Amino acid sequence: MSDSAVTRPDTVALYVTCLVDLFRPGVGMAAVDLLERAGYRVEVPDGQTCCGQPAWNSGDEAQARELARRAIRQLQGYAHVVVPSGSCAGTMVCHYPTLFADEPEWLDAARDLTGRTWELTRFLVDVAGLPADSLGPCQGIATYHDACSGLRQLGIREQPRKLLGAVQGLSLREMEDTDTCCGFGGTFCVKYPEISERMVSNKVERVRESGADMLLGGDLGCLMNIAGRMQRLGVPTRAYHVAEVLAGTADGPAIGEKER
Amino acid sequence: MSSARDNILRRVAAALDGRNGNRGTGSPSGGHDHPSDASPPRPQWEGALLDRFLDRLQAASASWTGVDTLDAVPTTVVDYLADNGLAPRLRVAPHRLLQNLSWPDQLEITTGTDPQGLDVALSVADAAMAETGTLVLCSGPESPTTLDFLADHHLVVLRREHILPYMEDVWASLRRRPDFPPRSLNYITGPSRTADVEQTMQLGAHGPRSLHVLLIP
Amino acid sequence: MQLSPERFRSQAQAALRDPTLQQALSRARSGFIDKRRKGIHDIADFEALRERGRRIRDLALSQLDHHLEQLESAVRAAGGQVHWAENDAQAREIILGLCRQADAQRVTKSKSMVGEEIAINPALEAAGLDVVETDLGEYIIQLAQEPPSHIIAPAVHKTRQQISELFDTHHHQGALKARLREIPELVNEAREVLRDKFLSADVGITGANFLVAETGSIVLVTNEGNADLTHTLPRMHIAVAGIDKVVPTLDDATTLLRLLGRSATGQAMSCYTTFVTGPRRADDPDGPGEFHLVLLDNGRSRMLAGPYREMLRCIRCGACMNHCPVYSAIGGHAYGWVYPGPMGSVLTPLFRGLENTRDLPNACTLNGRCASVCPVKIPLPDLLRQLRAEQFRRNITDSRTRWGLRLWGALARRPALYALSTGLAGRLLRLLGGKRGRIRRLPLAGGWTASRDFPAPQGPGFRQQWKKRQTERKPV
Ligand code: SF4
Repeated sequence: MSDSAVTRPDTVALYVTCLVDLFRPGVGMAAVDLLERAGYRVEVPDGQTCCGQPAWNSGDEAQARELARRAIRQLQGYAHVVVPSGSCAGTMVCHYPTLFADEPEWLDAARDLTGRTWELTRFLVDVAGLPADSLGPCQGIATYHDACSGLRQLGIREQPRKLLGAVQGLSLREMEDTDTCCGFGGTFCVKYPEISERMVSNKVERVRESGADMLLGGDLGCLMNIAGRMQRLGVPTRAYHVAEVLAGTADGPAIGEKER
Repeated sequence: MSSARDNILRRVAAALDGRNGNRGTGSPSGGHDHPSDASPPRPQWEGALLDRFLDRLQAASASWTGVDTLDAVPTTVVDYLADNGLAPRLRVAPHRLLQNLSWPDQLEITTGTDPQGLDVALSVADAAMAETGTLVLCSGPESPTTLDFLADHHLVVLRREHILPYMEDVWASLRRRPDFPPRSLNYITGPSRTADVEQTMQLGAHGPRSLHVLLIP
Repeated sequence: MQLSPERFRSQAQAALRDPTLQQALSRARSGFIDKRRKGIHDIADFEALRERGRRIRDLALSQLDHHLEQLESAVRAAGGQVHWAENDAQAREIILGLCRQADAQRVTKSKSMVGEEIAINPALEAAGLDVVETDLGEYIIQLAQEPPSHIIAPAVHKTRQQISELFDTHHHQGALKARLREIPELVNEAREVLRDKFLSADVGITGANFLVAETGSIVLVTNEGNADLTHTLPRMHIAVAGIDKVVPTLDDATTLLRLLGRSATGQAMSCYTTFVTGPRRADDPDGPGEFHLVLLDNGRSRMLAGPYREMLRCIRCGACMNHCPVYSAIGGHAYGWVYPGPMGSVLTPLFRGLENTRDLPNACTLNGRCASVCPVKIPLPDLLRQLRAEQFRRNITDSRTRWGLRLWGALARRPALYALSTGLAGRLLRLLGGKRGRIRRLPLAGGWTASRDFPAPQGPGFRQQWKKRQTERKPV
């Protein structure tokens, strides 16, 4: 926080999210790469853990508040905070202010963070002004799942499509019900596994019908859910985070695939 | 013991005035402060009021015939019954517009509200709205509601000048009547229908199977 | 077994395993969504209409006591009577008393969710009255002795085959051998059977879509026309409505009607929208001799006082359940009470108590589609989350979730420990994933792996990769 460099307008703090950190670090690296290509300096503030979303959505407001305070402190001073997840960004942007409705000081800080925090694809399009001509490459036909939080809390719909449109070799084929929930829902999918199974099965059916050979999305939770179901059902469509395709690193193993 | 009424109203008032309460500031007597009161969002259309009305009327599965004069209503009705293979029997509402019509002998005319023999009913609309192709019928001495719902086929006489653009206009017009509001004010948009069996639309659920407008000048 | 919100889990599981129900649900799913999408087209700024609807409802609620008193005097001025019920039992008592007063034997009913809420049918039947539901969907489920599974399409869970069988049993004593029949035939048969009931009813009971304070009118919206036959033909009309249903003026009702039809069925206007004001006038040729309005609180004034007031804006259009992927997976009966889907998951805990409805606020992914279509902009996911918070505060949240959160919180507050444990977990998961890159069965995550593979982490964690990259770059 004391480093004055962090306030430079060309510096971005990457909030990597716990799922990306643990399961798909390549998404984080792809995000770094994209931000640098767009001319930004990327920093990864130390001590990042969890934005508090699981606690907030489970009704544990005290814990959510505590984790939010940590994140607000860590991300203080940065001109931009970029998150490769619509649901974590949505928590920060839409819910942090609600959490501190009764704490004026923190409320100000939360609102300040809200104004600086972006989901990755939205940042790339609305702030950084991509697509430049150099996205990808990636060969294949992709279909895009609109993850709910990004779509409805942050209005992300056109941005990833615009970016994907600029990827060499990639064509986008929309599935039906692209805005219908996949049944992940954080703890929902383990609390109500049978309902979640039906929802994700419907989603997989739409993916399959689209005939695409890749499923893309902006939220790792949803992607792990859909990919896991596709693999269990033997559907060969491969799942990647949109950042991997944009950065041209989607030639490696897809989510849940073995290392080659 | 205090009455349920007093208890409920007391609780409501406490909820509105209490610590977390927030009582509105608009006048309690119905005056309300919508910022955009001038133009509520509602359907817009280009072209004539009449065209819009007839277009919406047909979209609601109703039909219509233009009639040159009131006196020509009986022959139009006879033709309509013949064209649709309906028995020459008509229940006529006791409406002043219909009182002096001369009905042909082959048509059996009945009056009253007896459900027996109520195959085809003829009533008069008080207004209509172009917004949705809707007829407005007010119950009253000249307009028994029973006819509008028990008949298998419903014929409605509508004066062209009674077609108004929007529901707000209908209210403004009806409010001027001394007997407003009537017991039953019916906005009727097409014939009765149901989609309760497998979400498939089927006309003629409980009310009329067909709705036909006789449009007079 | 009687449905109950406490048995949400098992009811949902049963629904998922019922192929006939699943067939009916998948038919309904896209239909409602398409109809609404097309229906809102003719209003250029539908969002502005939603905002106006929200404001009208908020303003009406913010002066509810005044509007109720105004409504009461307007109903009286029109010759009707107003009755107040603090709870369901009082409402039943009032209605039963009125039916006795009318010396009634047969009662026709037009679909009313408040009627379901106060369970009026069993009460009247127990008193020896013949109660007939007249909305076709309600009639079907009355024959099946089931509660509605949807607030505007109560028999949405029934297939044509099931309806053919019900009609065969009840109208033909099984003579048709359960033959599958065409829809027009079924609708016609119901029309004939119910026509007799309409004509012989002594009392007609309706709900009310809205109550208009300035005129004392109740608003009834149907496509079938059954509400109009119900309130016009018998000697007495009883309308029962929640106190939340009042709007100040006819113009307010107009805006809400524009929202209601489009949101519910995609119709700009339902076939029959009726404003009923009082009983038959001295010179009227028809209509009931008596009109009674029963106003029900049943917890609504409590909702008005608390953090869930916004739920009272609800105009019962059903759009939230039509767009809910959970509802469309399990149908309405799984929710266990009168109000299903997202609105029910908020309302049922408020009516029946959080401790009796543990699952309802939680069985939702918070995907927000319901709120995005709600015509009066009720923030349903936020209200569900608030209910979860209340469960947590009151210690109703299940202990597994509690412990899980506690453990996660302990880690997430200690970055070093967090890094260590996630690093270890990552290594373990990669080990389990082996060459496949995914895990087919994972202890403690059986809910996931019962139907999904679990992806093994890809290489060492991000933090490690990032550090490595930084040191490699340092010399530059
Ligand atoms: S909550 Fe909103 S969408 Fe759901 S029934 Fe009520 S008004 Fe309709």
